[in-house]
Parts: sequence; structure tokens; C-alpha cells
Amino acid sequence: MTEFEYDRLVEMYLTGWWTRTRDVVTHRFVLCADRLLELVDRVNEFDEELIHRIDAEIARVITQAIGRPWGTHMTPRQRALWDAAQAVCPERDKLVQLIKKDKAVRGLLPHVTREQALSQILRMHLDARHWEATGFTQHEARVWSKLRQFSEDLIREYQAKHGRSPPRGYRCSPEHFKEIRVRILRDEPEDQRVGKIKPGTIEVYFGRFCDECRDLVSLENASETSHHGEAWGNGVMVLPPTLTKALPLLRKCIDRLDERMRDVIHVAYFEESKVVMLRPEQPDGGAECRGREALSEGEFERLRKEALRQLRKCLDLRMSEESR
Amino acid sequence: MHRLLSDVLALQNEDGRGAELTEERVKHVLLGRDAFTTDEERILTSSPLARLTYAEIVEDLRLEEEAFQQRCERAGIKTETGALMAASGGQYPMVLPSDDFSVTLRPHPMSAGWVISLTLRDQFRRIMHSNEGLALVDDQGVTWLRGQVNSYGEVHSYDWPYDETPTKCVQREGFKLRVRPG
Repeated sequence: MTEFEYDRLVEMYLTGWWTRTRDVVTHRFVLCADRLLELVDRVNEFDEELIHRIDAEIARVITQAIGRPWGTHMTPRQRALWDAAQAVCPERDKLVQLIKKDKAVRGLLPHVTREQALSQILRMHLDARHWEATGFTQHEARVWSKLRQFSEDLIREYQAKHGRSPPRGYRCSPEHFKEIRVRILRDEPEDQRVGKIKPGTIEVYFGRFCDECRDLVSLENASETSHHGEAWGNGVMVLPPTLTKALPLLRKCIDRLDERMRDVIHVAYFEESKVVMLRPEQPDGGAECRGREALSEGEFERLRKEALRQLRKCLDLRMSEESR
Repeated sequence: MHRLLSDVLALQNEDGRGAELTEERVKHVLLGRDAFTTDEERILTSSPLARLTYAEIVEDLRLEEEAFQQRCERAGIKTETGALMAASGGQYPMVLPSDDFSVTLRPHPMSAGWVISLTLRDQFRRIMHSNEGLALVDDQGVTWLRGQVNSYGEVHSYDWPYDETPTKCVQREGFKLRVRPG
């Protein structure tokens, strides 16, 4: 591969394939962020010492997440992805500010997990870093103009059909981005600017250029406007059929967990109740807990996460043995 | 179990190796033109990035199908045959008619296989984009043919990998064929 071709690959990871780069960085960051999330758990007041510790922890996570995994052989595509990631390295002080502002990442909103909240904050921050790094090109201006045109058409059609404007937030919703994609595929699939654009990239454009979408984010906690939870799992990912081979291996791995973790997994995923998770409003466990082990919510969650970690290690090992 | 597997796999780290599995390649496989190699399957089991690419293409193919249906509906084109009557045997080529396309079956002249042809009527041809591929799928999800529409509005297949002959399938109760993007 020539230097020119390689530079083009890096550029692709900063433009057309940007969502891939962003999601890899976000994924790696969140995987290393347990200590960071512990530091900010249920925190309302930030003194200087805490801010200093958060900042130092973010620095450590960034090194782990974006530091290139040296020592392993890398293909040009892999290398290009890392080079692109390093060009948009997160800024510590901005991340500290975002974490201070966001309630969900501090575990203060019950319906959003802290990991989801952190993912959303990072995605927003990395999108901003990406626009800083790449600037605003003629091409992007033309893409945005096209996307806006499709969006306006869809909104006009909605108004004609329902006799009213769509609800607030519709323009910034994943449904709308998918409708735009369908409209492009229907009417202009060969358009050089938008023919191949995917809903994830359409979302990035709206996040930058659409006033309504920007207002929505700035009015609320970033993570509350999260559209797709964690893009990498959280039970929402479509798994390739070949992965059904992993199910019997996973069962064997569950059997190898220690009893408490196994019970927690059974409760969390198979709704079998050998243990009971205590809600804060029932500190004594209540009558239904008799004969079963009662765990606090925090302990339950800790055990669930540890069990998932052990299952991941066990499954990776067994899958690599199988494929040998 | 699927949700647990998904949560466990979400904890795998990503070192960028998933970048090797491209959108084009995943689309190629999902459209049935090829199968994943052992290496690609290994990437899919170990890389969250590769699985993200896979999930995105699954979703994009769904959106592509929705766009195709919308385009046909707007033009008043029916993409499905009605329930076909059991065809009388022995006469080839056998033509399965429909409002906006027809399907022709004939034994391959040189081998034991079958030649299957899809022919679009003019109105159907007019709404096709250049380089657009089509597939013909029966009521049980079996793909009969797949390919790009030629300048005569036709797609031909010389490959019939199934045990049951197409003429036998046609005699099945409730048998239907549907044109979809492919």
C-alpha cells in the first residue's frame, strides 16, 4: 500500500467511516472506565481534589483506550483506525465538565445506566472533536443541504397526513434518520453524496447542523437524549447466526461460575429467583425473601458485572479452542 | 440466553481487527452471494466492531427492502404472484405469470439443472435503478434466482442447488413467488 493510499484510509476513518472510529474509541474507553464511574458515583458536589482525581483517572483511561496496542501485528486498516482515533483524542478538561453536568453518568437517573450515559457523553464529545479536526468542507455542506431537503420533505408529508407538525424531537430521532435513509434509497440511491450514507452518519450531521437537535441536547442531560443505548451490546445487537455455536459454550461457562454469581446470572437473565435483589425501600428483605439470599442492589450489580467479565474470559477461551 | 450472550460479547475489547470485515463483504454474504470464511467467522466472534458492521448491514438491507416496496407501491407494481395454480407437467418452458413480471422455468439443455428467468414488464423496468439487483424468493423463503437486471429487463439463473425440482415446488399448495431487492 502506498503512502497516499494509506493516508486516504486514515481520512476515510475521519469522514465516511467516522462512526466506526468514534464507536471503537467509545467502546474501549467505557471498558476501562470502572474506576472513573466509581469516582463519580452519586456525587453532587465536586471539590477541587475530586476534580483532580477525575482528571487523572480520565488521563489513565485515555492512555489505555487510545494508546495503540503496540507489539501486535497490524493491518493497514487497523493502523489507519488508530491513527484516526489519535487525531481526535478526547480532551480531559472538557470531559470533566461534561461529567459534572450530566446526572445519569453519576448514577442519579434510574432509567439510564452509567455506562450508557458515559458512552453518550463520549460520542457527543468525539463528534465535536471530529468536526474540529476535519473542519467544514464543501462536500459536507452539500451533504447537509441534501439531507435537510429530504428531512423537510418528510416533515411536510407528516404534516399533510396528520394535520399537525411532528412532535418535538422527531427531527432528531433515529426513526427520522432511518426514514431519510429509506427515502434516499427509494429516490436517489446512486447519488454520489448521500447514496451510501447510513443512519448513524445522518445522525452525526444532524447533531452538528440542526439547531433543533443541538437545542435538545443542550437543554437536557446529554445521556437522556441517547438514541441507541450502547451500540455494542446491551442486548440490542443483532448477532450473526454463526454465534449460536457459542450458546452451548456459554452454558458450560455459566456452570463454572461460583454459586452466587451463577444465581445472580439466573435472576438477571433467566428470571429464576434463588437470590433476591433488595430495593432501597425494603431493607429487611421482606417476607418473600425467606429461604433465599438477599443482596443489595449495589452488590447484585457488582456480582452481575463480575460474572459477565468471567463469562467473557471463559467464552473467548472456549471459542478460540473450538476454532483451532 | 441471547441477551446474556450479547452482554458478554459486549465486554470483548476491540483492537481494530474488526475493520478487516468490510460493509461490502458483509452485504455480499448477507445477500447469499457467498459465505463467510473461517477467518471472517473468527473475526465476528471476537470483534465488537465487526459485529457492529454486521448489524448495520442487516438493518440497511431491511431499509433497502422498505425503499423498494415503497417505490413499487407508488408505481402500482405488484411484487408478488397470486397463489399459483398447480401447473400441468411436461410442457416447457413453463411460464408463471404475474401482473408485472413473469417467471419462466425450463430444464437446462446441457445438464440436469434448471434455467430460471425473471422478466419484468415495462413499468417495472422503468422504476429500476441501474445496477440494482433483484432476487426471486418463494413462500418458504427459498431464493430461486438473484442477479442484476439486464437491458431487456431480465434476470437469468442457471443454478438450482435444491433437491426438489422447481416444477414440483410450483405444485405446492399456497405457492407464491416474490420479487425483492437482492
